[in-house]
Amino acid sequence: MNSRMHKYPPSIRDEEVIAGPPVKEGRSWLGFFLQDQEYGVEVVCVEEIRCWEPATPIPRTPDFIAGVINLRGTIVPLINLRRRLGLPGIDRKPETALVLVRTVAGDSHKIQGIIVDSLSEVYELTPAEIRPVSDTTPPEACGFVEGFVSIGGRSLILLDVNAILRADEQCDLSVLQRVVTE
Amino acid sequence: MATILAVDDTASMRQMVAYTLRSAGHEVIEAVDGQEALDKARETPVDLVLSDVNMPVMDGIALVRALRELVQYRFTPILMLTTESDSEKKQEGRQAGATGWLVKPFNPEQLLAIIKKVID
Amino acid sequence: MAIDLTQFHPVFFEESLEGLEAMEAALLALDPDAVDQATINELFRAAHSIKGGSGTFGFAAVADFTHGVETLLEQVRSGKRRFSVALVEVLLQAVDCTRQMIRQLQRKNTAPIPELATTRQRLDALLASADVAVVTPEPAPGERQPPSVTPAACAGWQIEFVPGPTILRTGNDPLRLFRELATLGDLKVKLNPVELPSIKTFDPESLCLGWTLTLDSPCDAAQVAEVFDWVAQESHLRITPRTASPAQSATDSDATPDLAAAAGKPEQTEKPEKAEKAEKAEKGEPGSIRVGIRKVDDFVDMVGELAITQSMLCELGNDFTLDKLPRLLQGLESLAQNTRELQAAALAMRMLPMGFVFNRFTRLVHDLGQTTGKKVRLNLLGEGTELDKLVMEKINDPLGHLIRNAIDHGIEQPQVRRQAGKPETGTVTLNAFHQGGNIIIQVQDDGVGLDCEKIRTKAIERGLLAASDSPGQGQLIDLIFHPGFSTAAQVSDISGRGVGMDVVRCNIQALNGSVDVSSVAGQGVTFSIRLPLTLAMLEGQLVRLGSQVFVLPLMSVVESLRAVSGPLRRVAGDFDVVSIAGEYVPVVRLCELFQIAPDSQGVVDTVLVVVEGDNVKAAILVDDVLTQQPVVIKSLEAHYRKVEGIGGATILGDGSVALILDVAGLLQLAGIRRDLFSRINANKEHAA
Repeated sequence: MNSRMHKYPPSIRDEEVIAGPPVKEGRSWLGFFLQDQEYGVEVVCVEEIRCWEPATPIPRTPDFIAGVINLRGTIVPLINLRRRLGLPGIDRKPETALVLVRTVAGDSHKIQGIIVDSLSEVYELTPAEIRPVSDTTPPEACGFVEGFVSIGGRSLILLDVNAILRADEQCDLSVLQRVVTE
Repeated sequence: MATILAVDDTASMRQMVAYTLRSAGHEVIEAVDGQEALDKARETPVDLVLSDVNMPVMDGIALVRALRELVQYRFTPILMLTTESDSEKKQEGRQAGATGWLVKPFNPEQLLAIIKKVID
Repeated sequence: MAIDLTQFHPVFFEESLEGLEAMEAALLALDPDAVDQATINELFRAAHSIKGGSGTFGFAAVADFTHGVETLLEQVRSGKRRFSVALVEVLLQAVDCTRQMIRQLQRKNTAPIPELATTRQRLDALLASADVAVVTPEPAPGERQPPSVTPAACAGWQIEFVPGPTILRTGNDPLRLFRELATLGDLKVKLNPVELPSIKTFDPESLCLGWTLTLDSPCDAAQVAEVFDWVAQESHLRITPRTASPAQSATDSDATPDLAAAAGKPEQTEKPEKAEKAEKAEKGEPGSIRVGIRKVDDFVDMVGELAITQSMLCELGNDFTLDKLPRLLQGLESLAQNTRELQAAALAMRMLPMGFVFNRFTRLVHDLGQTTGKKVRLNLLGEGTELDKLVMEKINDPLGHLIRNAIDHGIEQPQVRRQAGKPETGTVTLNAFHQGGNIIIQVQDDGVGLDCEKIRTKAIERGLLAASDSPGQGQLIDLIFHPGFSTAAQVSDISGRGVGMDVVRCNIQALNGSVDVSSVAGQGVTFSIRLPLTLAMLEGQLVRLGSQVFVLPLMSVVESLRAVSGPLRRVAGDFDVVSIAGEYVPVVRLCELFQIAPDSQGVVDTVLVVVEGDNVKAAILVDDVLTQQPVVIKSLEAHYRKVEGIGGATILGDGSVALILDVAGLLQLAGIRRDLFSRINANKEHAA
């Protein structure tokens, strides 16, 4: 699998992209909430969205590993993103959702689910609309943040979900709490 | 388009031959040795037989002899797939009643060209 | 139409490797003084196929190399050369080289093969040797006129063609030849005057005609001759340039093939192998399995059955009323039956007979016999016993190690054996058989047996045993599996480099298996490897702890006991033990290890599941023992990672996920070490 593969959703082949109408320069982002902050992950990484379902806990793993679920016969881990970022846990609400994300490293890919408080909407963003990380962002967090965007008075933190899910489990990501959008 | 019986104990060669012939629109029946080929040829009439020479159970030469004994295959083109080193085999095959030969290694284009020689 | 030949490469590689394996086995089995024709034919055919295929698929180096092998074997086949020990050795080397070449092509690796040049030289030397009666190509029976051809190209050709009377019976047809000639240029065909036989003697299948053809074409003679290639031998053929005066036709029978060769006989369509990029492909292609057509047919039949059941259930569901309940139950029953059969059939596709692995060791035993100067015979039993292909691939190395050990340390030198009243030739036996849901593979030698005194000394030396300990023989022998333990008095070339039996045991445990050893002094050693039949499924014992269900491989479960009341005995510092049949067994509190809240705080109302992993027993404390059922093993690593103490996961009937416990890993996690408890029990025996 080459590096371009994860730039397009798996259903679109390179030829079709070339042959089809000019690709919009922008990328799509799926917005979701954790605590009171809205975050975004790139839609091309998202395999599917599911309602919350109970997972089978895996012993001797960090508390942010909620367990594993049966995704049509495949065993897929769930990551409690709140806990992963060191935020206080909350009880499940009806809006709690699972975002199943495909991460790619070298030749292999993994499907992992992240548990989020609720989903907001999908945003089409051009590169010009995205503000890059700046000096105000803690340097340890830079690798996990793709940028920021302000939409109608709301500010989103765009996450590099691949980097977050591929990060070593021992790696403390609570630094992301200190990322401020302004 | 013709129905062709492709006989080779080597799976890769047989698959290559069959694939090539099918891409050219022919119907292909595959067999892994002379005996299976003979059985299949009895079952289904074929327009052309392409056979390897060295095979277990029944070799290509014996297959040619056996086919020529069958009334429906007296004049059917039978080509031997043989290697350059088999010059004796070529003649042995001819004497057994083979129509001709195609020398290994060959590529798909050469195979199709030779097929054109024997089927109308 | 361009056909991509690379699609056939995987099949070619696989069958070539199989062919090489067959050649190797045949070479090892043959007696140079009495070789039967069937073996020679088999050898020749294998070499011939590899040569032919490699030429066709563009692997010129392999084709070139195997050509020498094929030629040697052809000489043997036609009685021009005799088999000798030297020839067998060279052929074995050539097989090795070819195998390496194929493997490299498979992995797109272009590293040079060091042995290639010397093997090549030895092959060439043999080919050049006078051992063979020089093969002179016999000129074709001179009765018929050989085709005469003038080499020079010119404006056109006159061709005299009188085919042999029998050419129709070979499927040739002059009309086709003429049609082909006409593609070269403007062709005029004139029938020669003929004297037809009388009606009484007329045979419609014999051809008694002759033609004079004029071809107006700039093509050269070879192209014309090629058209007649198949029939030239039995026909009168004279090809003369049209403009020239009556030709000085060459009557040299070699002319035809030479010219034909010059004029675009099939050329090898080869691309230089160097052009194939050396990619990192060490992992190689995902392996493939060749499945017998019978197994596939069975499978297809069962899918058909399933489809019938499905449509029946579907119909029932469309307008279900309660009176149809019996039919629904019946449908569900057949669904269960179909599923079971389908599962078995799917697993059967992964199964291969053990002979695949066993036969590979013939060579090893042959070579080891040579290097050690010992006489060894390999005895194979139960070769038809089937095992999952994946398990089989992984058991290869451990088996090789055990066989090396058996020959290196077990089998004695011939004179020693003679003095001991044993036959000079030692025997290594490989045996495989099914037992329950498992396969047992045994490696047995009739050598000297394990030296318990030596093991004891060494164990004390290494601090594995206190000098005062007096363990039983079984426990003593078991120490050879301890990391770093090697009994070889001196480190030999073959085995005994310290990475020994512990690695063997680890590899086997990684397959959810176990290994046992028994030894009789002076009579030999037997290793028994117990393995699950497949890595795709296992017989599971479901257990409950708190609200969670876990699966224990039934293979590791010894027994389940309702816990006795009263406190467990605490020995060896950190462990609780229970006494089961006079043996102290450490207790593993899974709830503590996994930090799961159990139903019951004490031991009462709990169940002890006695398991054995890594040859040590332990009692796992769980809340309840549920059913036993086959479970499909799913990887946790595919999308997550390896977790200590967990072997994988499975999906239960209700769709939920249950984790499969890895018993050996679990015991390790709990800090239960084999030597510790063998010592405790040894001391207990001692005290008692």
